[in-house]
Amino acid sequence: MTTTMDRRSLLTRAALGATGLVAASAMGSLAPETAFAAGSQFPEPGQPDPNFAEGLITGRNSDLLQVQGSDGRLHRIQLTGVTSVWKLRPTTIDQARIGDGLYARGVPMPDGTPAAESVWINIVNLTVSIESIGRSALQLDHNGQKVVGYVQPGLTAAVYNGTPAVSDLSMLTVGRHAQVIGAWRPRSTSRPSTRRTEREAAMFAQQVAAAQPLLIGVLLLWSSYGKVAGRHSAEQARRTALPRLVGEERAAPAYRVVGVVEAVIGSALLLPPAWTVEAVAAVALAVGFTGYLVYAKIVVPEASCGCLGTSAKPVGRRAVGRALLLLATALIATTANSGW
Amino acid sequence: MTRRTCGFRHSTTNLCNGSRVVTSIADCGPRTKSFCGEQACWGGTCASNRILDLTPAAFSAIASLSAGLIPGAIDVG
Repeated sequence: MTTTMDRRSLLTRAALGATGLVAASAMGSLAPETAFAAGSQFPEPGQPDPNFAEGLITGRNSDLLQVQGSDGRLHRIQLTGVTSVWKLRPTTIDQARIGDGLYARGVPMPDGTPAAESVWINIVNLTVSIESIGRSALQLDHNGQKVVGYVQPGLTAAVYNGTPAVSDLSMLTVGRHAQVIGAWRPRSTSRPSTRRTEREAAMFAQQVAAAQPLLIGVLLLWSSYGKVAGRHSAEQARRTALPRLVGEERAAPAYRVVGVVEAVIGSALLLPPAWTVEAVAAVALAVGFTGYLVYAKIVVPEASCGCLGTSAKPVGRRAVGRALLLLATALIATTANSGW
Repeated sequence: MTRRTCGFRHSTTNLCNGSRVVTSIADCGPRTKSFCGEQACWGGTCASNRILDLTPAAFSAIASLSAGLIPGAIDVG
């Protein structure tokens, strides 16, 4: 195994010692063999790196930054005279604002506080596709999420497959993939941490909604099976309120037709692609079903539901409640914009 | 490079400055298809095609995060 250490980190270590930040004892001796031995050490792959911190800046006390990590850990980061700071461009630490996101790498001091070697503020590195190109902003799409990239005059540069960076953006093409490095702008009204939570909540709601078509689809197929393929479906049809509604002789065919409609909508919901119109059809069916049950309960109180099972019990409040529940589920399903 | 699965450990060397970091594979990526034949150069050293995404913690151990893309080499161990 080769052990290498770049000139900069060696210099930074020496410089940290020189600022009198008691970093010398954290590093031990400055003899080259000790420094190289320290350089070859790295935390177990996959384990958190104690020399690295990330999170949001929650407070600042002269040259000490308080950072809340995304895993909830609190970091205190000591800034030194040689800390290199990046915020869209190499800059100074007074550009750090409360609410900014931060990545920091440093060396731990004896009290556990890391002394920062480099700090990157609000840095983002996104793979995007270009949606539209304006004079001062690019509309970008990052995995379906809209991102606006503001062009910074004199700073924004483009690299076209290995070419040197040029400020000329005219060769950008809509629809092409790009990698964007930049700094995000925290909004003064909503901190990124809360935005992230909202996005997660929205995603959770989306997943719940996406599961609903599956639920209704299975329910509808089950119910249609009993109506279309069941041996006693004609008898069941006579027990429902259908004879009163459509006439004695048309009750059994009507019962089967309802079953077929249920089967069609159920299969459509279960099979891709997921169209909203399928869920809307399920809503219409659920509305019709609820209306029919209320009609049956009022006009033909002795009629059975004919919903799922072969039960001959008359329509009760529970059947109406179940129909309303189905309606609510179908309504949620209309908000799903992805398949299950 | 043969196919490695999650948890496999290898080291990534930054060809610009020779620093290396040992990491374990966490997921699949990057989307190399979108960036086929792309080159990254540093001085006279060039490397083409994307091979690996690193976490900010691992990347910052071998290069500045603001570099974004660096020529690198992967070896086992």
